[in-house]
Amino acid sequence: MSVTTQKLFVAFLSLALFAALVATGAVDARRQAEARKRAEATLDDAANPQIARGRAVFERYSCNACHGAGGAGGINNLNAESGGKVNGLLHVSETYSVSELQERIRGGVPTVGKADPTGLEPPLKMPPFRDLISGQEMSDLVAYLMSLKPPPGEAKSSSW
Amino acid sequence: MSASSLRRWLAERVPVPMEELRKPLREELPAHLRTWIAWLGGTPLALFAIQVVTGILLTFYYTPDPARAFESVRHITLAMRYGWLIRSLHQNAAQLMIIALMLHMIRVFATRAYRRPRELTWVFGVTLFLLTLGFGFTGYSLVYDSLSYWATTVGTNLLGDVPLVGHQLLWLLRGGPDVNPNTLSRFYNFHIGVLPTLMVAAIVAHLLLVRLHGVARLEGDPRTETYEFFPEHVLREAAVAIVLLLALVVYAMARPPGLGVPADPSFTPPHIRPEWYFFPSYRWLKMVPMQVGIWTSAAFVLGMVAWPWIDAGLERLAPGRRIGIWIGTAGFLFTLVLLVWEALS
Amino acid sequence: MRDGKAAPAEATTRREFLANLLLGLAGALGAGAVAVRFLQFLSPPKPPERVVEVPAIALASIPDGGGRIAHLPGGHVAIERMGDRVRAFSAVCTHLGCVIEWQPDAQQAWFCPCHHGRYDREGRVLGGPPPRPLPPIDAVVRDGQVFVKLTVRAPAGVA
Repeated sequence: MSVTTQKLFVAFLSLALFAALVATGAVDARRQAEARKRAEATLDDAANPQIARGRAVFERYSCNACHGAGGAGGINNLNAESGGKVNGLLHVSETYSVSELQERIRGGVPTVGKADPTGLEPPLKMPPFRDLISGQEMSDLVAYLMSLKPPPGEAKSSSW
Repeated sequence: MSASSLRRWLAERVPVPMEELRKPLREELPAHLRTWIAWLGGTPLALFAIQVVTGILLTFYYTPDPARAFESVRHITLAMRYGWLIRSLHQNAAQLMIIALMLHMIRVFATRAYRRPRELTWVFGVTLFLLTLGFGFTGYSLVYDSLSYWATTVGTNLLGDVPLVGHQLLWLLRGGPDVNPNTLSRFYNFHIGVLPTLMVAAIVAHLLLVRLHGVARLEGDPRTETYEFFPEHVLREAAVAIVLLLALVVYAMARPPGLGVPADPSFTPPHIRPEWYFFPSYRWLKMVPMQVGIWTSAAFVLGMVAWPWIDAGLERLAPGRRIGIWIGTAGFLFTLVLLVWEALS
Repeated sequence: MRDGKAAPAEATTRREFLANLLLGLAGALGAGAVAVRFLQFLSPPKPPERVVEVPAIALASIPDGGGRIAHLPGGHVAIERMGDRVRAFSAVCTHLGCVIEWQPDAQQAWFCPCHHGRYDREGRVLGGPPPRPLPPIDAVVRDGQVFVKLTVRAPAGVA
């Protein structure tokens, strides 16, 4: 192959690459549309005043300090049964009724189960909130927690 | 402002002899390099360039915090524009790079291009290969889904069994007594800081040695004609690079990257495995007692590094018998068997 | 061209020139497409927005004739109370974006601590560097609760 022919060949390949990259635009447009729909769905909650108030209650009483921002979990709690971390709250709507959840918040969790029974006591425990949160704040908080959803594709909660 | 006055302006301020710089471009390459298999030296470099660029792009959105790592990967894959494309390119160029490296090593091995005085070129080459495996291992750990988390945990645990220094090595690697937030942060830093720096240094050393020595002549090749590095060879390498990028883009559209299940440190999935390029060692370590496995693996790597001298010794013992090629072929086939065996089980 | 064909040397150079030109153009297109896609990646899509009426604060928590700042998911809001009615503005100083404070002083109602911008009860600039008055925000009072109309954006980090 002469150098000139080689140059033409490389030029042809570059054009093919250009065409392929243009085609990626169509694929991306579809994915972006799906992503936008999901983002709009979260706006439904953001727009719901009770859920917005509930989120404010969640932050006001520092629930996020142990349960993570937006109840995502991930805060370390050494030797806790729930994977060595404070459990997240993204699955509460699947496992609690409204009244059960209210009771849980009011009573707190005085003893956290140990992953290793011979190991040390997990340092973080949930305090009872019965004297701190009640009435409108409590219903708003519960509404917010019930609106939490795990990201799509995540396995359903297995234990707690 | 003309081209020549610009050249003069530059030459006065950057006093470099232009003729010296132009010499490598005019380098004459032996004719046997015209066959495609000889272009495999430049291919890993092209793929590494793709890795660096897509890797840097990914760092704009990735967070190396155990609580948010998987979420950031999800965000890139589903919500960012062309995130799926960048991530796919990065994942798959890695696989291609390892394959290209293996093919290049086979070619260099088969043509015995590591013979004196090119032994150090080979040593840097093996270093590059090991660094690439390091990239693969650390990179895989960053996805932080169930499979990658446990593959990394098992992989690092193996180091604990190294005699004498195993425990300290593990402590250093994990940043503490167990897998903790330090661990991910550490692996991230290896992947984007330490390894790239070492890699670039090794690439420079390797290429410098190749250029200084010139490309090794093929043993027994009677042809004496040569061709120029620039533009002919450069065009070939460019063609390969563009074809690879094209293939990666098309593959990304055909099979966009998916998402696993987020890592759960309290639950080990039933079928953890490292990436395919670790299958041979994985299978071997399952077959033999741990200490035997570790010592033989270390001997294998050392053998690879010292191969030019081992081969020279073998040539002296039995001249013309090409024992080296037989050993190499046997070693390669054995590795292949282990790989396929693990893949199928 | 005496014999109807270009001399061989000329034809080669022209062919070479065309090849170089084509290579240059095609290369530019290819490289350009790559660069464009990368830049698009670095530029996150605009998150969807919605104008929504959001509960801000209880009317009673604002002293009559006074003002308070409410920090809401949709932004910071400066609220003035006049009996049972309220007036609201964006609490973001129009100078360089600091959050203003309620600091009544003669005509002054709001004060920006960063560069000492001063606003009156209508949000107009009294002094200091702010270039524009505070943008007003629709606000109503219902059942003792102040509601404001804000543009709410989908939270970042949502796929």
